[in-house]
Amino acid sequence: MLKVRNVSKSKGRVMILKNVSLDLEDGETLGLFGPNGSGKSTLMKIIAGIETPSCGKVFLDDLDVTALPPEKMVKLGVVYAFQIPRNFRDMTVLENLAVVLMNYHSVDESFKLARKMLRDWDLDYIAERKVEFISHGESRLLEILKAYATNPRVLLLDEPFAGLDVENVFKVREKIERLREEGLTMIITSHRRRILSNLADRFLKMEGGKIVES
Amino acid sequence: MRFLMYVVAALLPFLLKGYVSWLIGLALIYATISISWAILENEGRVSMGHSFVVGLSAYLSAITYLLFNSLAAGFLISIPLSAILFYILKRTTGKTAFVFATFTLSLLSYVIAPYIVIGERGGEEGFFILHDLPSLLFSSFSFVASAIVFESFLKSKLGYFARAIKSDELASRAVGIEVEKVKLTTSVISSAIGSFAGLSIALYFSHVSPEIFSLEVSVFPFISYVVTGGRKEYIAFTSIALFLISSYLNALLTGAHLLLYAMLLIFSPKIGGWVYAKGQERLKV
Repeated sequence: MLKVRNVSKSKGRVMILKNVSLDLEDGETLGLFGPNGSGKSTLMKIIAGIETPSCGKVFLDDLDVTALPPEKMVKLGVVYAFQIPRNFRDMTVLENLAVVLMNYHSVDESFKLARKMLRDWDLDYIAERKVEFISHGESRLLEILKAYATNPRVLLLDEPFAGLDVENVFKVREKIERLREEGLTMIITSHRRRILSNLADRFLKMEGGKIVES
Repeated sequence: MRFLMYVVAALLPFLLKGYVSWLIGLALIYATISISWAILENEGRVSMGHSFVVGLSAYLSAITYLLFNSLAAGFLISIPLSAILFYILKRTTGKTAFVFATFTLSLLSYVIAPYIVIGERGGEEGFFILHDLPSLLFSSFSFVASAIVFESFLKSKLGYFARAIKSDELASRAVGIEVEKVKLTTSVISSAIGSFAGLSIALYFSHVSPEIFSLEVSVFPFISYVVTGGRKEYIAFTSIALFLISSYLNALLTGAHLLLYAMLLIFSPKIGGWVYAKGQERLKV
């Protein structure tokens, strides 16, 4: 379904990714782990069109999607949830979700659907709160929910457990498990493999911009 | 409720007489300029050169009236011209640079305007438009029409997308919002409303001079916005109030209104802080 071929990325003189290739099958969840600075986030951003590779190609269903902008990638079904949640600050939680849904539905329908999704994810108690007044764990869940609201084919979750306490790790895990049960294709990154156990079908380890273990 | 307030404001000049009626009519035009400005601000762009949009429309309308006896031609040309220019500025500058770019644009047009001469007309004196159109009716109509567009915009998909872009452009793109399309559309809507305000001024005074490009016109919407404390949906009303108060001050002592503007700008962080504190109180409740 998704193929990454010989992707490299350099910033200035620093090589962040060195000739990385990977394949992702339909319905598969890939766990990508490795220390900080190993290039996981950069690889995810390149797949999502947020960054462009210095060389190499990304294919979705054999279609060359290299360097397509993120909004086009979302239309093709590839969406990225940021490592540090980037929710829309001057909006409420409900508006944050509704604005994503407005890409596909009318304003009224989007708000109705957003309320339903927040209820399903047990976040309805913060629906009317501005995002600057919600906790980091809630912010993380909202970031994932926003990405999920685009109805993706491939969901890229970048360090979804970063900075969370144990209770929130369980909450986020539970939601990711649910997405997995729905058959969503995912790549999840973390700097610890253990945290990804039982969440992924397959693991790849990255170090120094390369895949070193599979 | 707000719609009713718009209608009352638009009817006021017809209910009153003489100078007060004329002054409120002019206040409605300034409120229309502020509405045009607020549409750009909703997307996170603070324009300090909105007098350019207004002045361009007024000048082009006056010139096409002089040359072809048509006000509409100049007005219609001014909409895409200012929209394209503002869109280019949005694409090529960051949020801070946009402020300076628009300010420079306004300043340049103010400097260049006295050199626009057609035949023996123009220059520092500007252009006269001798017409018998109901200018007060036109400015009231422009105000109400702009207010309806503005309110619909705030509640529309486009309005929400613009707010998302204001908050985080990259995050907006990452959830599929077509940022460039939104930027172009808001530029067009803002320019169309600003152009209406320009034509209204031209008709109201039956005259257009380089003063229309003045920095005072450019800064006015921003100060009105400061007074709202960030509640841009009230900008039309604060604009009307601010215009009337500043006109009164100016009548008492020439230039005294500029002191008011300066005070409002100096204390704007305090206004913002007060609004923030009130918001927090409300959330705690």
